[in-house]
Amino acid sequence: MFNLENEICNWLRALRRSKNLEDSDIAELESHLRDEIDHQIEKGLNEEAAFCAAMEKSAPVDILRQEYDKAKLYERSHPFWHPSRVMPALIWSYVKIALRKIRRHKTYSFINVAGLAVGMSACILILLWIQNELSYDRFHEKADQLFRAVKHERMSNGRTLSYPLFPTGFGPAFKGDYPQVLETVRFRHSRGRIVRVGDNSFYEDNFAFADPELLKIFTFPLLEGNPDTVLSAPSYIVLTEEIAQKYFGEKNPIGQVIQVDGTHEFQVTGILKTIPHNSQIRFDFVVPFIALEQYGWEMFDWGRYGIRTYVLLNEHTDYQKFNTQIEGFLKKYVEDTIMTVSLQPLTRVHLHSAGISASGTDGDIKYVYIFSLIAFFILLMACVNFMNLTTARSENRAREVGVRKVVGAKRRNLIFQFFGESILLSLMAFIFAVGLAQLTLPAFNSLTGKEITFQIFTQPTLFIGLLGIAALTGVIAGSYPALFLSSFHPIKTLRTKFPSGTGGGLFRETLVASQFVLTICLVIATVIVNRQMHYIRNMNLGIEKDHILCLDLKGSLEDRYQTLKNEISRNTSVIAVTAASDAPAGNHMSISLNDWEGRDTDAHYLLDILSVDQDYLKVFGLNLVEGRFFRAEETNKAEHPIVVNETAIKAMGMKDPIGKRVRESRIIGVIKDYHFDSLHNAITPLGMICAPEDYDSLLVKIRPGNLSETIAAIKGSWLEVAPEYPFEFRFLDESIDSLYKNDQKVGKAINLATVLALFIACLGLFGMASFSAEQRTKEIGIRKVFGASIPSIFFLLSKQFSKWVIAANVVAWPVAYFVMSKWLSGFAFHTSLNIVFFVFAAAVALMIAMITVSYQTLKAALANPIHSLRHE
Amino acid sequence: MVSKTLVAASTKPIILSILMSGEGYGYQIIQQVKEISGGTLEWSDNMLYPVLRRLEKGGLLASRWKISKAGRLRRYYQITEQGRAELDLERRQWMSVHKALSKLWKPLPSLK
Repeated sequence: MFNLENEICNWLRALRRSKNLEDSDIAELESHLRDEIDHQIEKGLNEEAAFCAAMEKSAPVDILRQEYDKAKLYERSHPFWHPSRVMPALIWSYVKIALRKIRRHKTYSFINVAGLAVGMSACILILLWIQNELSYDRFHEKADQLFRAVKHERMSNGRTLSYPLFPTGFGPAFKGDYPQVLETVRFRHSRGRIVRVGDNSFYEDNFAFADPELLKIFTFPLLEGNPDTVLSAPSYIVLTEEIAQKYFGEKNPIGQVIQVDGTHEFQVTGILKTIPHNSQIRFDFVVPFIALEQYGWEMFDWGRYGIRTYVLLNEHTDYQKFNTQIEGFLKKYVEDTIMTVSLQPLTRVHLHSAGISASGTDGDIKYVYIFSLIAFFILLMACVNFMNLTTARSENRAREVGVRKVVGAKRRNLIFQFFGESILLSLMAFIFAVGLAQLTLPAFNSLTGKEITFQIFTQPTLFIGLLGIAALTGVIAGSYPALFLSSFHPIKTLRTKFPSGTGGGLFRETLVASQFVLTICLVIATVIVNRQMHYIRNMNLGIEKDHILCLDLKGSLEDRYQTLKNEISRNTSVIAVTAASDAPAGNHMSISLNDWEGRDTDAHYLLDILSVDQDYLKVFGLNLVEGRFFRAEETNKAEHPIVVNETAIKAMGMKDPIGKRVRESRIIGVIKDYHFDSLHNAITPLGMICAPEDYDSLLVKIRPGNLSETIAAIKGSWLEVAPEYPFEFRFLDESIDSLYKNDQKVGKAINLATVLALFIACLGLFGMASFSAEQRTKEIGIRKVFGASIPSIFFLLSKQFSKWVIAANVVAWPVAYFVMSKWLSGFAFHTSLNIVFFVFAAAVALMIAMITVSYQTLKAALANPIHSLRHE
Repeated sequence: MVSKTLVAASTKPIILSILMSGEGYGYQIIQQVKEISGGTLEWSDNMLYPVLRRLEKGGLLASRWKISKAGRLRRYYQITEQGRAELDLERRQWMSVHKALSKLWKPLPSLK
């Protein structure tokens, strides 16, 4: 039995097998066929005959398909590179829908992408910084076998004093005593050398004395010269390429002679490749260690501590085990010492040297942790925002989900689509973030004082890592809409207006609140850090630190200090001048305080030593408690007079101290305690002696007033006495400030992080507020129609957000309290944690939140209800 | 009967010319071609559709769907600006071929 419809169906099915026939083509062909059949029937044929006749006139299916294939080649609207040509149609449709959504909801898309991009770029910068910090000293081929020797001294007040400084005898003896030690290198860094090349002289700060093995065990490659011989004679010198360029330009530097400090001559034998910026050992010049003999050092001495010693261990030596063996090493060579020795892996020197004095490093693993945490939290906040907004917006798409399901989308198709969309957005944010990081890198470098470069394509691990973070953010953000929305029942979403914005509300509120927890913590931290910095700057140190200039007595100037001092004092604007070993801003020499008259315990302290002249008290406004200070004429007395501070007297338990003996000195006076070190530390025992050979600075107290004239006058006096040295000065208060360089860095970082966090949190809040105002448009309209006033509506809408912010405070306060009291306890002197700070932070957070929200709520409250109610 | 190659070559100008007088759907166009040519231009009916599609993708035609009174879906084609320009070009080419052939074949009628 012939069935026309069946035949037509079969024919269409045959056509459908060609992928180049679109549905519309088939519909068109079908309608043609039916027209033709109708036409034949009109002529009087029966259905079967009409169908056959129509088929007769049509081209066979194969040929028709071929023609369509040809037609496809002619398509010009989609060039070959067009995405629709390379990806399945459904995926391209997803992409189109996603892009369309972005275009239609510009504000949300912007908030979404911008927030994430800012967070990511901050994260990128911090990761770069961390990567740089962790890379220190790892470029040495034998980095895993290299160590730095450190000595420790445990004091009776519980303090352990660690220094990486040893006497010259230590290195060779250490190498001789242990078979595990393959090599030791003694290294002394030295500042303030005058270098003369031809007729030019240069003032150089980066001079090093080192055993010749330096160039063998470390990876400091030579551009010219043989590493075995370049340091083989005491008069040889090796320069870095920059210095060679600076001194000799195009000339061949090898064989040239340079003069150091006017007396010593060195011959250039090698050129070093520029030392990488992530090297903790830095120098521009290196001369053989033995050249130190010319500067009054003995080569195998056990008394004078000032030499860094680096150790190359056998490959298979476990240094921790080895450390237990070498602990008492010094007892063999130094009588009656309490000093112990340990080895610190070179790769840990940069970051793990907290507690080691004169370490010569500015890194600290603590900051790596702090910044990692900050990076993590900022990224987390940005992700939370992203998630929040994506989720909130996606509920408006319930209907789309319904339609897609009705036309046959499976759940996994929808999951795929939503994940795809959020990953697309996060990748867009990633691209912006990379650009933003590139742009802000110079500013970041000047903030951190580093020379980090960011070439994303030459750092594949970084690139892949960051891309992974971006993709992960997309996946996390997309997970809620993907998993929740795709579960909707199509009938429910299509039949009634789907109540959007209700599901997941609590989830989103919690997320926003948690953002505010972080933000409030950061605000509190900012307030306290700034407060502490202010406290330090304004604390009474017990000395006058204003209007004091520090001039360094470089090189051979020590011998001429008296002339210089007299010359400078002659200026009328100068109140007083004193010569001393150090300005009262950290970095003192210290000796063991283990021998004094009437010592009845085996207590052992450390005595910081300052070498000063008779005018020290006058310059700094210090007061004597007992006895007398130095007199001008007693400088060379054999009695070794010493003035100590109150803390020292207390530590030694002395009564009536004047005239008593401390080590080989006799106490002539007791000075009132003052802060001569960072406020991180409590006041420790201090002794002042009068030893002109140790004077390193001239401290000049000047009259406030015409500063530039005064400095010009002092410069005049300086140039008269020491024309060969450049006149350089610092202000004492600056030097004191620089004791807190790291704290200030943290402060700055926290300030920045706070601003960023506030920005991101506000973006999120803004997005949520506008979303919620939009959701409640109709409700607000109705309320207004029934007579609600604008303030009451404003209050209604704001209440919701303030609630979260206040809840956030409850969580943030204890956290901030705990963390900040920890931070403050790192200072021996610190401001107290006042409730006011917390209230202040809460107020700031609340105020900023209100301002952010008010734009949207006011807009909603002021809107004319006609507009919101018209479309019903 | 006209040869296959010539039919193929003339399809484009014929379709465009027909559509110059207003929009039309496939079946309609085919009927018109038959009428005009007196049956000398023989196409497999539905071979017109890939051509129409090609012309549309090429931007010479635009189409829209309508539903006939009988409830049948019909796609109506319309010539675009670009299509008109293209037709103009075609016309000039065909006319020059026509002119050349006319000159050559002038004596032919007298042979009859």
